[in-house]
Amino acid sequence: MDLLIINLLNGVCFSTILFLFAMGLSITLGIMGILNLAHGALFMLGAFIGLTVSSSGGNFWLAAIAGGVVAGIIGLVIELVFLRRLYKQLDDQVLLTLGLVYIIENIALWFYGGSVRVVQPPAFLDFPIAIGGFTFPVYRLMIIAIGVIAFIVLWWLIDKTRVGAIVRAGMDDKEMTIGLGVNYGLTCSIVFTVGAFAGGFAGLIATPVIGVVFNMSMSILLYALIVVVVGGPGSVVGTLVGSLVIGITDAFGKAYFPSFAMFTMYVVLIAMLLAKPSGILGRKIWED
Amino acid sequence: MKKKLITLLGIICLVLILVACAAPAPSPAPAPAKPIVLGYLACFTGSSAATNPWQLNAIELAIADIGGQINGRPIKLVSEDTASDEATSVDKARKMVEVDKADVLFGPLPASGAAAVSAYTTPLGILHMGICEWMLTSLKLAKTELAPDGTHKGTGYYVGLYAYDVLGARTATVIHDDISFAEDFTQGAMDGFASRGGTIIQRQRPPIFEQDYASYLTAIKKADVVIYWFVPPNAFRFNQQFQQYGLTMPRAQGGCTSMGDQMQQDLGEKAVGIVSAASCDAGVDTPEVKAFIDRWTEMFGDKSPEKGNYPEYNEGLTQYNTVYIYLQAVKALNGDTTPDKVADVLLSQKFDTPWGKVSFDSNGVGVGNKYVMKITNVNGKYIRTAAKVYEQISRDEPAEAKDKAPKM
Repeated sequence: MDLLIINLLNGVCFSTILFLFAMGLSITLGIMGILNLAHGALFMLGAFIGLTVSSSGGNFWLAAIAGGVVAGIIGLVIELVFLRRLYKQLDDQVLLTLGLVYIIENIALWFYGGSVRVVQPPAFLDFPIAIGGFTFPVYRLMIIAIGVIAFIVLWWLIDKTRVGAIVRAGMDDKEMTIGLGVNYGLTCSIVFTVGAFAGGFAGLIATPVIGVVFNMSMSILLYALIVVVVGGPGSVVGTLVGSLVIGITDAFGKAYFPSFAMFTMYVVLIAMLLAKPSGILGRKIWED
Repeated sequence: MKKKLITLLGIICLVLILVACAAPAPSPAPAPAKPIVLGYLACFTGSSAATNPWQLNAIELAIADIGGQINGRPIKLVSEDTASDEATSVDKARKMVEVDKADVLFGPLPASGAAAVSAYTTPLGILHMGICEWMLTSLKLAKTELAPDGTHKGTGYYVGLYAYDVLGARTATVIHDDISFAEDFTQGAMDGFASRGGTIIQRQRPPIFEQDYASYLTAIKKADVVIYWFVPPNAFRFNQQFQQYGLTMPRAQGGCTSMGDQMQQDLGEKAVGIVSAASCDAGVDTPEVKAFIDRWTEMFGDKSPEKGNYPEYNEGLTQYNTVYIYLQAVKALNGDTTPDKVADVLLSQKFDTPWGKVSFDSNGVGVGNKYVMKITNVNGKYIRTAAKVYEQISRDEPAEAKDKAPKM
């Protein structure tokens, strides 16, 4: 029983990191129809910026906010300068954002070197607690708590506010939304910035667990893409469900079927694509 | 009278012309000596890029230490980025041989890339030397394939011995990246451990792209020692998470270290006590190594890790050793770089390095010292210091230890 609980907590913690990171990707894909493969690079960049702030004497939470803010600003620049001109041009979006990944990774390599770096968690969280016959890091419980708060805030924002209503309306019928006098371009920019902020913030939050290294963008992006496909793009609840499905499947797969650890999440992905390509709670991305 | 004068002038002119023709022509300027071309297959990008800052520094220092030239032949370094990729490694090797006319190829760092290049260089008889541990199969291809640093199993073997003999471990749990050279490193450690009578109770193989080891740490069985090997980012993550999960078993990196100074500093107390094995390490406290570090610092500046000049990774030092050994062999031949001749010299003589004498066995595997390095806290700096030296040993796993550990 204890082992079951520990593996469940392992899975939920990893799910939370995935949720915080994939949320931005899901929203921009679901709302704007933009596939931003540079989202992983923003995760990495947010972690490095947070590392710089932390190394300069800033506390952990300030570092996390700083990482998110810088990632958000860079995300906004990417949206305004590049992606806004590529609406509905998926191939070009992919090529452009892949190119941006290489540029950002090499800039990170230039400034921070090739070694993996870490920000240690706050001292009052850096110890394990006993759960039955096992131990579990308290910091990972904090990650789960952050994920819960982030979900509540984002769900409230999207589902219970006027801004969220505009966002949802734009997803359902962009032309009608514009026709009603909504500044849809501004809405998209805000959404993209919030998504990028979430990615950068997640980067620093995850650093005490997985560290940060210049070439981690694509590996972490792969997890996020799987989450978005499984959960469905454009839905906060869908992204949460997708994260939990993938994270828990991955944790239990490694624990009980280690020989198949490489495949478990892909089995879920394939099953979802066959059964419901739009994802568990996905909305249609856009209609022509 | 006039006729006689003209005749006399004509004779004088004729004599002068004949004398001028008979004078020796000035000697032409001597042709410049053909340079000795060192081809270095680098990893400036890709998964092995972490050692990037030290790669060229190490070779430049080796060239400077030999004097920059041998018998009038200047030494020229050509380097190409292989992107830590096998196919690119072969393409760059081909370019160095066909276009740059390289006399020797060094690298690349990943054993898989080195094996791919070996398949290209062997039929051509090009001398190819390793800058890190190699797979034994690469070495057996030809006498022109040589690895001063030995094999993966050869490095891991001594970690296994140390775990049993010095750490006093009798049971071990093993965990490593699911990739060939990690398998080889840890198999060597397991064989060394088992050859002394130790028992391996578990073996886990997380995928190489794994970032969260939570499930594996939860499943890890209690043993006297944890033998592990991961590529640099994963080694760091594993050790970070190991302590976060409250695990306290001694850890032995079953092969060469894959954590540089910066990673050790970032881990802090979480890294103390970890042991690994190396043919050369900046933490070896001898006058020769100190002199080497001083020369490095003088040539490349401050040795602070932040400046990226310090040879914190073993690979940076192995590159120096390999190139310096090659240049000594060429010097013994008065600058003759014919691959077969150089290989004969390499296989028959001992060579000086800051980490002791190095020679080669008949398979091209290095014979020299192997150091077990331990991470310690020295005045707030987390550095590797030599815990034990195995002197003048074959850097391959001994035949009697092969397959001592059970297949798991």
